[in-house]
Amino acid sequence: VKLTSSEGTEFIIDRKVAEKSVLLKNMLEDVGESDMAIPLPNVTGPILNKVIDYCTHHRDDPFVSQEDDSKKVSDDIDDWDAEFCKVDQGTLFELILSANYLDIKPLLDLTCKTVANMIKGKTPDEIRKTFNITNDFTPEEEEHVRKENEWCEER
Amino acid sequence: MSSQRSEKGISLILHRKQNSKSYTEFMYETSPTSPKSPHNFLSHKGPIVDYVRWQDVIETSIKATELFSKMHHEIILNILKELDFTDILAFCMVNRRCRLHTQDPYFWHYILKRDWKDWIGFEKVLKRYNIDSELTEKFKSIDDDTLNLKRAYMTLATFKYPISERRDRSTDGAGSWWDNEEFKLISSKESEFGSVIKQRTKLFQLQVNIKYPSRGWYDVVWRLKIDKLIGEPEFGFYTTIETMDFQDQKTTTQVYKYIAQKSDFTRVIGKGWFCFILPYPILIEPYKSVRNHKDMSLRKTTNCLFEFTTFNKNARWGHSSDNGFAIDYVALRPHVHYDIPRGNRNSSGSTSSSKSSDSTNTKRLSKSKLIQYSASQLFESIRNSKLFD
Repeated sequence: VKLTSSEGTEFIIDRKVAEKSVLLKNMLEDVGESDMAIPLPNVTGPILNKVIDYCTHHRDDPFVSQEDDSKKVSDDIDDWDAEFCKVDQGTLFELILSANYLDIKPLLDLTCKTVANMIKGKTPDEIRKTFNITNDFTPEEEEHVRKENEWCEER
Repeated sequence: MSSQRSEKGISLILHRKQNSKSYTEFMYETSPTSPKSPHNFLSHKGPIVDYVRWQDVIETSIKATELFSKMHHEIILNILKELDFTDILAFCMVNRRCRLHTQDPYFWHYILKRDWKDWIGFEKVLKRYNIDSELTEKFKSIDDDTLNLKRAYMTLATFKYPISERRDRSTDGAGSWWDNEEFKLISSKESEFGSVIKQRTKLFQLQVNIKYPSRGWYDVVWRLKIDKLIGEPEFGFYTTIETMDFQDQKTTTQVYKYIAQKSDFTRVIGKGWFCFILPYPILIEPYKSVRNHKDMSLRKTTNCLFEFTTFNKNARWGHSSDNGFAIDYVALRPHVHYDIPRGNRNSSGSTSSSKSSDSTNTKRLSKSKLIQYSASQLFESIRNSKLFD
């Protein structure tokens, strides 16, 4: 299967690897075998490279259904996946967007978990610093949200 | 109906700034030979114990910020789904956009079910907040429904331990313990447990012991009522947490303490029941804490002991009218990591493995010993604060 990234770089991959992406899987089923490259205008070359790395490593994983929520523990990331996610935030967010676009659920979950781990146990200000977000609350709004959160059932 | 509920909920927070008080009043019986306490007291500086921070190495950039703001609602929710309740609350205080993402009743419904659907009281709490257990009908108002769902969550996640149900002294298990001489059991409609205890003497001590509490960061909340306070008594609130390390079988003990003074209570004396939230959160360790797989440790909090003691030298012995404390319950409520109480969040790393013979065990202390015990703890805390300041 041939893929073209947004800059026009061509990638040739196994069909089995490509089918990790539900988007590509459906496309291939619709189109059938063909020599035409599939254009992916939303994905850049380096990111597509990473995505292919991921799909190649996980090519033999069984397909996990969406309902299988039983083992949702964000701590459980295996070594290869953890290493895979050690990238700068820009790349990580691009991976999330591509995984979402290409519909690769395990990759989306993995990257989302990684971001979740960056948020865990932090104060709002630490989260702002982590993601370089500015606080646009007025003091009154901030107080309001805090009050809402600090609520404690009295009985 | 729901708005009435919201009026009833209170959030009285009696935070106080550090070191603004003198301990001298209580110091007069400092034991001369209190060598080294096996406890580690709260210091005011030092890193927070945390277990998932290895991703800090990932760098942020302007490009990243742009991409982050590009993510649409579903993706953000996919990230939030992986988080604990308190982390989501912290996230919603980051900025307007983050808050907007969390104002989603469908999402909160999911979180509520994710964590509590097998809990015994689940259906009851849903009913109290007018929430359908299945997502059949449309939500009426996003803000109100979100608020109700959050409150239902907070109610489910707050563990209350009634004081009035006194356990047998001979058993070493969980439950509350206090002396019949010092407290009077009275039935009260104002308590959800049906009865509360009221202080009888000018000195008292009570304990609540919990085995295997659920993991997480918690605030410690005491539900109290004070009719009257004579003089300037001080009140010691202690929380002792025992954590077991499964690798070397060692138990570590961590003591959090707070000495309250009359000024902490002036706003609420004679005004009925209130919740007194201690100014420090406590960490109850999960079964495993993971930095990554190579560096995994297995720790679990096995025991949590709450104590409340006081000695009022101005009150007269045996005059119950001089003493106005009534106590309903002590609760663990999920702690949200805010920006302000940083100084209070810190706890010194605890390494002591021995159990103190006279303070953490459940045996009753003699009265003189109790005073000595409080005084030596105070002394220790002053020493510590000097060390760190």
